[in-house]
Amino acid sequence: MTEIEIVSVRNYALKNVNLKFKDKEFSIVLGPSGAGKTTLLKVIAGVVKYKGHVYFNGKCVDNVFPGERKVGYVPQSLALFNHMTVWDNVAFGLKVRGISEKIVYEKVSYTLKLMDIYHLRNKYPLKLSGGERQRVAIARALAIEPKILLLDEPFSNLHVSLKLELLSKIISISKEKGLNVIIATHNLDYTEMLNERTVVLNDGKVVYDGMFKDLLLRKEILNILPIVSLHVDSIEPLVNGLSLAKVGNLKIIVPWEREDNNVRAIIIPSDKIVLSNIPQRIQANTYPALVRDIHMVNSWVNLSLEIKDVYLEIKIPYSSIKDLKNIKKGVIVYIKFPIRHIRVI
Amino acid sequence: MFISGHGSVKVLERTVSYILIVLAVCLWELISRSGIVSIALFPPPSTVFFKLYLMVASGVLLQEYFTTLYRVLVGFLSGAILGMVFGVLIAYSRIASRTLYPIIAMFSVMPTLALVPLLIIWIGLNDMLAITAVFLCSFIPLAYNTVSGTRHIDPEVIDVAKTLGASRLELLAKILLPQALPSIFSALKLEAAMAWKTCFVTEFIALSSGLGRLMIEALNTLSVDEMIALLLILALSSYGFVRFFEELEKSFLAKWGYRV
Repeated sequence: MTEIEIVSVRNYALKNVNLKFKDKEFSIVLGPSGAGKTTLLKVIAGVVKYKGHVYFNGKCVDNVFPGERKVGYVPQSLALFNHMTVWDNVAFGLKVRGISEKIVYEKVSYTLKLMDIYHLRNKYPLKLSGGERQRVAIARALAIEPKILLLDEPFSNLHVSLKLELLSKIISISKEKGLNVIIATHNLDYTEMLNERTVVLNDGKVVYDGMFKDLLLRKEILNILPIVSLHVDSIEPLVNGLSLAKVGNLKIIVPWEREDNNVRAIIIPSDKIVLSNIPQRIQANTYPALVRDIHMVNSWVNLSLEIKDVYLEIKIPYSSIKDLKNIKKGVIVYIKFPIRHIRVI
Repeated sequence: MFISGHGSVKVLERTVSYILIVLAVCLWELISRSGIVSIALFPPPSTVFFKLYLMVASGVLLQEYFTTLYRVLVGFLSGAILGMVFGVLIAYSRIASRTLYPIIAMFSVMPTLALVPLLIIWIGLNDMLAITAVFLCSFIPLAYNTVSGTRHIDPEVIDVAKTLGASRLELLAKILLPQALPSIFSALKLEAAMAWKTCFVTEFIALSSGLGRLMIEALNTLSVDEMIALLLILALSSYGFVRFFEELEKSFLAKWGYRV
């Protein structure tokens, strides 16, 4: 119901950003830490200062108070009101708008049931689990019946299954209500499953704007993101839920059970890759690799590896490397791609 | 005793602490009666309690006690409430923060009792002197701690409240002030005992009524038993006041899930 247009927006974190989010669009904003993802959401919500213009349905909202923009905002910290019960958290946005108690009661009950947290209505946020708190924050944003839902790293610190459950809930709600949803994240655990419109920000600039699958063809963009992408030559079913993907002479076990000729690549979040110079016990997806080049940038290590005939350029965090000081050019290391973190595109 | 759970441990701890108090009083009685020290300088608890009984029976103690209690309550509560309001305003308004916060910060390190001579000149020797001293004793720390408390609130809480449509006043009253309560309660507990001490010493220095005046009279007559009795009342009143705020804190913060 709302088309968002961002024109020449700039501030302390954004540098001349121009973007257009179509009506009822589900979009992902990707980028490394400090890229400006959170600030972009805050610009749309109207809670930070900026130069340039933001339009909702062609109408400039630069001077519209955040509470009047009809935007539901869920920050990374969730920012729940710890002194209020779940019910009061969700009712807050309705009460401050002067809505009658009867309607507040109906809307809050409906929203709590929608997010499956009605039974928690009398509890305080600090007494809830991470997943429950996440649902409360989303329910609070939905209660005001927003046209746009902004989610900043909404599933960080949640278990993978819980992430996917909440994600599918948000997708179904957004489709039902015709919401514009924008998710800012650096987490690729679920991003590829959406295969939606993806905007990549780096250093405050938009460096990619398109579908997620096409992003995999843009090596220069992938280098910005904490992601390793491997081109798949073929894929064949192995056992229940698992397949064998061929990447050159490399055979990688992947969580995939469909027969699909359209498989293009497998991706793995960089921080999930394990690298060690100590020979590993025989483990799935662990390969010896020759280090062709290594250099460090901030808290990251850039590596050129040769695994069988596959040449791999990866950027992984220090924390993923065991015994870093002994990993040098020309040595053999062991690289592991944990199956549960692999995604097939 | 069989200890089955947390409740039983608490009862045991409390019983031990009562036994220790009784033992300390017995030891005190024993030392006083043994002749090691002069009984006039170090009267036994039985004499002190008897003196306390006489003071209550004569009606003098209650009258002076209520005078002090009135000064403490009026000064402390008005100071605490205004301190909180000022604190929130300073935290929320950039202008107030730049102009008032340095003054509050400067006064927060100054002992209130140091201001009493100046207050005597400005206010005179009346009820308002003690009330003002107690007011300052609670106002400045409460304002200071409220500012600290609100400054530590996650800025995203404020952002979310704004997107939900909260006005500035609603943000202040419904979000900032309640979220600053952990810091506010810390100040309340610390300053509750200080309020009694400040009032007592102010009366002691300058006023002709209240528990402090009784202390001066006891000093003039070298009535050590009366002085100890007055100190006991002061200690119990301060402790009761602090306990009141501890219980109030528990009723709010523990309910919300904070560790108290």
